[in-house]
Amino acid sequence: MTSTSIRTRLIASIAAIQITGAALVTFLFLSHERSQSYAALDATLREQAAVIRSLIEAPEQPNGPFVFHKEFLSIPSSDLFLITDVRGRTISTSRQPLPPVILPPQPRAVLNLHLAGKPYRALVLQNLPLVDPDAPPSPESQSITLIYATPTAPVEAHLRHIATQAAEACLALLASATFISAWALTFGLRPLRNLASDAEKIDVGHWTLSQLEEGRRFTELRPLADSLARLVDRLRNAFHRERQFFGDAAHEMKSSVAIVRSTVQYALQTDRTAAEYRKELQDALADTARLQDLVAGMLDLARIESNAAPPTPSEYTSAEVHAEVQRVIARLRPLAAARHVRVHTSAEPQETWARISEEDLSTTLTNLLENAILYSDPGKQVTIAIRTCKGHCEIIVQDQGCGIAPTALPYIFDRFYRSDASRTRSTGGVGLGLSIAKALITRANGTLSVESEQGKGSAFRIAIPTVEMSPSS
Amino acid sequence: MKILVIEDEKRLAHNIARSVREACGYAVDLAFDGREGLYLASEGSYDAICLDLMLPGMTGTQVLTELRARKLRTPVLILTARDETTSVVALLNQGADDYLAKPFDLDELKARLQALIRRSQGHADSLLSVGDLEMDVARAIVRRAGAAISLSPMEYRVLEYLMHRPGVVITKAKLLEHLYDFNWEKFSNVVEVYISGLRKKIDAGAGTKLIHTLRGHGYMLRHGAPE
Repeated sequence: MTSTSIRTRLIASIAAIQITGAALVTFLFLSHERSQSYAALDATLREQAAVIRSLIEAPEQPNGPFVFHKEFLSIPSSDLFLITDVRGRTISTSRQPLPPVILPPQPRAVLNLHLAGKPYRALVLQNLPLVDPDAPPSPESQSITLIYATPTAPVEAHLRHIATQAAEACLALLASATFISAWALTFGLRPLRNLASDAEKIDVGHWTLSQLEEGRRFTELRPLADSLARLVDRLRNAFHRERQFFGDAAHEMKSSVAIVRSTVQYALQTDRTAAEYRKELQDALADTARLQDLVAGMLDLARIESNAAPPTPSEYTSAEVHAEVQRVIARLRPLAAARHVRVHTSAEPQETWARISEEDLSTTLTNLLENAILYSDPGKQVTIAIRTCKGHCEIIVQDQGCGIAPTALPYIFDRFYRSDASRTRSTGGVGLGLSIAKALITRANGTLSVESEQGKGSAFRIAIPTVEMSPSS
Repeated sequence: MKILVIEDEKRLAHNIARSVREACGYAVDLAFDGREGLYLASEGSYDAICLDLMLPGMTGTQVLTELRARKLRTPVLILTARDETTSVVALLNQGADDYLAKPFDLDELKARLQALIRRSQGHADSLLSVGDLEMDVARAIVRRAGAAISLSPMEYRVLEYLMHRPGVVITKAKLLEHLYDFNWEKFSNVVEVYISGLRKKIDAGAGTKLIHTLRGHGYMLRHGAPE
């Protein structure tokens, strides 16, 4: 991937805008200057022509010779002129003669000519009556044609000079503007670099962005700084959750191993009878059950979480909710009977097919119902309600147990979480059941939520999408 | 000797208790949560306490802090599955005497308990002696003038308690309390039975009597006549 510099891009844009602006301004300025210069040149031409005309005397008689008082004429040596009468006869000409010129149809005209390879500006006055206050009204024979030409080279040189100066000024401006904007951008982007080097330092032992407040001061950086802060927060929380999980998992394992070990060591402490050894071995075997549950739960959770993507339509399996609920109740009836807890269902009679595998639904319901029974006092009742709504169904497991403290409620689905350190131990669980249930329901695109009131009981609510058509059809 | 085990893993607590009872001959009381543990530790007089850290009701750390705040100097052996060094340092600073990480060896637990009790009584090793009477608490051997003496478990327990406190008058009630678990029925006359049994085995053939009875007060183990 090629990397692009925002700074270079911004500087290039600024330079492009400046070049365009400078070119436009220079062009307008030069056009104006050009028309001004040529207007001035034309005025000079007219002035010179008027002088020349005033130096011509009309002939005394008709067809007599014109008199031109050339000795009074003072014009630049580079200027050329030609005076002819109506018949085309030359009356006078400049020292260097004017080459032949194709006369334009208009009697008065300003022409741009190339004479002897050089550019000239020429004023052509045809049928120009001579001005003589003493003379009688002039007949046509007293008119002349005057062509006066002056080289445009000095004007062009002047214009080129101005253009060069303008270009130099623009270039200087451009260079300094580029330099200043480059510096300003480098300076202006420093908070961004600070934020980046700050983010670079984020590590498992270092979770603070020291430049965050500095970054948040800039409107442009605030979204970045905020999202960076949230990212760091999320990462830190995730990392701490994982660390907590490993710590808790290790704790549970060590505790479970400690029990097995102590049972075996007690058995080996002294010589015992065969019956005593048998009893101790049976106890040790029973002690390993918890370790086994723990390992199985952790593996289940790891498997579900690693396969967290929702199943593709071809993998859809579905479970009949009522039948599954009844199966789970039947399986847990001995536990409920032992704890003197009644399990009751309240459901609409029609079949409901939920978009979840039977195994997953069964595991979830077992975990929830088992908890409900274990946390209920003898004589209390657990109710499982099934409701079908459009597109999804709800299964609510409601107990009349001690409830969950509001402070503990947000964490009960966390792995190994215990609102009271004794909860899972006294009830025999390992603290993974609710996490597994949550992971399974989430994987099936459903939700698992809880409402609880201390002293009154808790209600766990599963909501899962349903299959409209029965899969047997 | 009597110890208190505060541990909410009931299976582990029972295993510790029966192992210590069987191997060391100590009386063992159990508490399955922090509050009960603190109550027992404050009320009963124990020679050592095994304290788990993760307890319902009250954490082990809180129990320990509270015990030390109440000026109870009973040695405390911490049992925990957490093994971060920082928490160990903090625990020792809060007044714990020793620390054992789960899963532990029961033999090690017993050895550490005995060492704690020994040290708290001012002995550096497992060999206790009063005059020419010697007791090796680690191997449960008693000798008088080099000759081994065989004692019943209860006689051994009475003698061990007395040998830890030579020259101190021990009342019958105190002796009883240290010999039995909380849930045993206590009959004061059994103490007299054990003492007379000990007299026969220890003092009978010897020139100097070591076990002294102070009528109306109690018993004392001492080399030489009482002042």
